[in-house]
Amino acid sequence: MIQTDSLTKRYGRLPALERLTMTVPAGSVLGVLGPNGAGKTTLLRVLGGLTRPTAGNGSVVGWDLAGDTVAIRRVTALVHESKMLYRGMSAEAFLRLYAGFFPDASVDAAHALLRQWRVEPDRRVDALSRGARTKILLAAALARRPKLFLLDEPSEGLDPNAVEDLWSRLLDRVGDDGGAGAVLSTHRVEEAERVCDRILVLHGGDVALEGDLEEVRMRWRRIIIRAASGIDVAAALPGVVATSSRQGLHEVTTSAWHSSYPERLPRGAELLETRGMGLREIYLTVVGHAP
Amino acid sequence: MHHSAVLRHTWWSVRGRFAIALFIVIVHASATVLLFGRVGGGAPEAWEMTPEDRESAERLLGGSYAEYLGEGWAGGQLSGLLAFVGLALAAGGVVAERRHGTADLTGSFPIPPAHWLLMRCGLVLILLVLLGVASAAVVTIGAIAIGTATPLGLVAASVVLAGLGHAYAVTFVLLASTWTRDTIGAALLGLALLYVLDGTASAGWQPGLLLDIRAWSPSPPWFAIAVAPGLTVSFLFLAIRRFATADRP
Repeated sequence: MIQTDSLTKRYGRLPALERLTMTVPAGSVLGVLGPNGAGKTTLLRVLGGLTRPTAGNGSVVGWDLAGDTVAIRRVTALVHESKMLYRGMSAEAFLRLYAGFFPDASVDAAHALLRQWRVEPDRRVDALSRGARTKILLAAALARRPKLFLLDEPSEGLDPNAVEDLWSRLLDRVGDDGGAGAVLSTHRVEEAERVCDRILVLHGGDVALEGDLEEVRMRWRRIIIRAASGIDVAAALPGVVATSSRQGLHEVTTSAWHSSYPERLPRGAELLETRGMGLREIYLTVVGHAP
Repeated sequence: MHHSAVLRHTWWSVRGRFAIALFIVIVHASATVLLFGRVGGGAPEAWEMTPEDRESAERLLGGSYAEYLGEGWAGGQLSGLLAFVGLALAAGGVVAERRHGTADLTGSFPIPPAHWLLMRCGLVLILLVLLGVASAAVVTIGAIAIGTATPLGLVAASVVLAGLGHAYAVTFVLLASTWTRDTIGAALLGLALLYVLDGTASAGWQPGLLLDIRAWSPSPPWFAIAVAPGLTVSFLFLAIRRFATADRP
């Protein structure tokens, strides 16, 4: 569904995305996490055909990211970060405008969604809250049959009921025979953990973590090791991301846990405890703010 | 193809600024007629009247021509000021477009860049004509209402120059605001400003005269006939060039 090879985007000299290489299979939901300015929105803009990569290459649903931007826009449904709608326009008018661009859009289905989310279609956009504007864009996107949903902070400003409904509908669509996929950018780590099956963490435009969520959770562990002083535990173990030591006890965070991991312990060291990590813990470790 | 959707989207993307531009043109033209007291503001050359014309004008004005010029000077200042306020308002559209993310909305629609460019330029050119017509209508109606004894030819010439002048300036701003990156937009705004200054100077208005812009800019007819269309062509060239390597439409 998505393939990128050293995908890079710079705005002038400012690097926004650096050498991203990844493969996302069809039917996946990729969660893009990262601090502000990490490159999440830029990635979605590149994947949605809004902007072309500066270097590297890639494709979305078989269309080239550099050359087929209009085709990409046809097969993707993008809810952009700015949630921009024309202020003097009603939701109804916007849905009709939107349907004019996408033959697969159903105005009736979008209406039904808006009714369910308690947004009056006849009201002007400038009389609506930011959450309601987000709902209009989401309703328009969900009322299509795209190959790929690109949702930039879609739950921002939404009430909990609408968020639940959004994820439920999105996962239904992803589970359909059509095999639609989704990429969503969010700051809510728990949300990504719940909805996504793949994770990409960006930090300063660089890829800090990428992979299948289950696999990531399996590989990342916090382990407690007892070792006599003078033994360099961290140097002996693979994938060590962080360590702390106190009174002969070493807490090691590893991203390379495996069943044979204990066998790599140096002589004189004893594994006392291993603990799986939630995505929040992993994320905070990766972006350098470990609790 | 989805021409009607593109056209509707195009209209909505320029609608607000067109309303502002129309307001500016009407206020400006009204101020010109009511305060300056002569059709189209009147170029300095037109002040070099024959004794007969001067006598006719003074009879019409009910006072000396020198006083009339003084009123015109004050009126011109206000008109020029209005033009600058209007330009600033319209220029705000550039900021608004970035801030409100119109480009993001456009970017989520599958519009081929050339299609978008043609639609947008086409619509803006139509709006230009409408602005010119609005300006001309106000000036003509105003001239008739206050009974200005200006020969019909001068009315027509003033209408064309004033209408096109205002419309060009505002159109440059409108076109400039189609950019999401401000480099070219800023350059076009500068040109629009230059044109407004040139226009105000040619009409004897203070903002332009203070900078003595006429000393280094072409005369209005040359500007209207050659430079403004030249800039439009340059704009189109830059637009096409930019779209060829566009980050986004």
